[in-house]
Amino acid sequence: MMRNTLSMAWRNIWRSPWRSSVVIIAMALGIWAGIFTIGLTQGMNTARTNSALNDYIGHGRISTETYMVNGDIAAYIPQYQEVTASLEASDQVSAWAPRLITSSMIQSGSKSTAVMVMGVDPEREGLVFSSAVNVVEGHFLTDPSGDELVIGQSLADKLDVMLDDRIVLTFQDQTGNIYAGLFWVTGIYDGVSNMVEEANLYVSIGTLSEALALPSSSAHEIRYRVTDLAELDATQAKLTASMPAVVQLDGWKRINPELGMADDIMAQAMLIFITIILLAMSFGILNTMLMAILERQRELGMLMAIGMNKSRLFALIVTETLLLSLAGLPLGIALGHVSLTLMAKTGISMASMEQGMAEYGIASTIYPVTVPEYYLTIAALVFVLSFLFSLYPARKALKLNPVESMRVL
Amino acid sequence: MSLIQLNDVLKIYTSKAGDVTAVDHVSLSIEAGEFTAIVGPSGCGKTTLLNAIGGLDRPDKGSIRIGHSDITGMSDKALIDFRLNNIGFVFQAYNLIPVLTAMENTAFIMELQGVKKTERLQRAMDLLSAVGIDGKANNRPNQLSGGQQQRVAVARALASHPQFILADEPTANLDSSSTGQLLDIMAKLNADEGMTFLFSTHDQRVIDRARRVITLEDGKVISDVHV
Repeated sequence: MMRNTLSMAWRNIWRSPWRSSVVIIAMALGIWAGIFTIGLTQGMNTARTNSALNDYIGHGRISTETYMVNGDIAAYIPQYQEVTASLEASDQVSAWAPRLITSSMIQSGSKSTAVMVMGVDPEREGLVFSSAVNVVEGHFLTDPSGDELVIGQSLADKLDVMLDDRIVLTFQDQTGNIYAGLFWVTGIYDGVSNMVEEANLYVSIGTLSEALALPSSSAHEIRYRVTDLAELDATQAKLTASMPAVVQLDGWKRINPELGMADDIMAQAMLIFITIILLAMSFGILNTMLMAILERQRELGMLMAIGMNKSRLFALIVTETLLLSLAGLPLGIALGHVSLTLMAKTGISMASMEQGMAEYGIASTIYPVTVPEYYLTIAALVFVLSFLFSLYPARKALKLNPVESMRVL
Repeated sequence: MSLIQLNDVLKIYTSKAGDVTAVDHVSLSIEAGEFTAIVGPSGCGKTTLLNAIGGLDRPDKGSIRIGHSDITGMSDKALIDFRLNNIGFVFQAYNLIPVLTAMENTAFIMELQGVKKTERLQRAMDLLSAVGIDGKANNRPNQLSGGQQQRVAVARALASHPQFILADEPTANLDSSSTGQLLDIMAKLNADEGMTFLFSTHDQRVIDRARRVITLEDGKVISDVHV
């Protein structure tokens, strides 16, 4: 009986081929628009995440709990050699870079501002972070203990400094004494988010350890990259087991929770977005089904008259509504998948919004990604919404009086 | 026992213009195997009476028995099942399902009854053959003439093995040739298989073939003639 209901419902849909085609195409386009937007947004989000990981977060961090809680510059990583030896021994860690970090005032000839000074190993820094190699003027640090300084383009603009200008950094050392040092701007990096460019500047780790009165081989944190980001948790677990108990390892989602949450929030937002699209589409289908019932009053009345019971009639109307909705589903998903696959290769240029996007560390060309993980959810949403929206037309049909309906011309 | 027994059936329609008594205390019996026409001017209550007998409309007063069953007290659900298994309907406007072929239209009612596919297709074909339209079994209603559609409607009405067939103005939309053919078919079914037919009609050609003619006027039976 189910097969016959299905067959009859399918034929009923095509009684008005144009009307049904319009509804099916509208549904397909709605689904396509939803999938494409999800893919585009996800692509943008992935680019932002990757950019943040490559520019200033890395995949993971090793530090001490005291340093993370207090920011105490004396709380550098103990047993540094043992920690770095573990990193070297792990084949799941592709690169690592030690850092000393302190807050400082920077003063140019005319302006001053607060910054974070990153004392980095010039060679290792470039293996973990792209900001080190993304120097657009001059060069990155070359001398492990010199007075070279690399600043971001945004900070250079803010301070009105150029390459080879001298600037002064002022901060407290470990003992509480004020340190003031003169540095040369040997490089300006760009292409990172403006926020990072304004906040972070780089000096050699040797220079900073001396200025902070810390031992020569010391680091507040070590940032590292792994060979497989999807296996980060497992890699961290192995590293933790091989390292002194006093150090703590954090993945990028703990280092920057907002970035980690962005993925989850985005997923939720996208589901709400596609639900709104599908809701709008469902109203179109509701309207179509109500029209169909109005037009077929006489026939529905006859069906009840000859003995079609209410559950069968209900099943017929619900099936018609579901088929009308679901017919557009594969087309919409296919359109969405194909367009995202193509756009993932070519990218979508947003050159006109380049500056605004740079503020958030997003490149002006966005590469959408395919989102097969959403297809089943979308299909389920279409099914559930269609079913819910079929109830009203079905109820209308069930309320028909056979005698009165058959009088309709 | 009569096949159909009406006792003091009253049906009043209420409207803003006032109450209209469509069926006014009608009592009558119809025996199995009858070939009966209910006649009368428009608005005399023929269709209302037929709807009440068919369980499509409930009388305000009185009772209607079909065989051993009093249908006036049945629930809506029970009435639907009763109609499905006991009454065949033929309508003035044929009322076939447009998306189904003649064969599928005929078999549809058996599907509702839960008859197995092979059995219902075989019976549908036999019935289409009996009404002389087996050559058009795979045609949809829009590919059939009015007369052919009405013959499919008769086949459909017979498909459920009903106790009787109610035909509301079955020839109203047919030309004389189609009317003659349809009446021949129904008369043959009546004669050969004892199928009971109850018509409402204005058509003199139907009245001429009926063996009993019940005349209504203002909802009342004013004559009941066995020919």
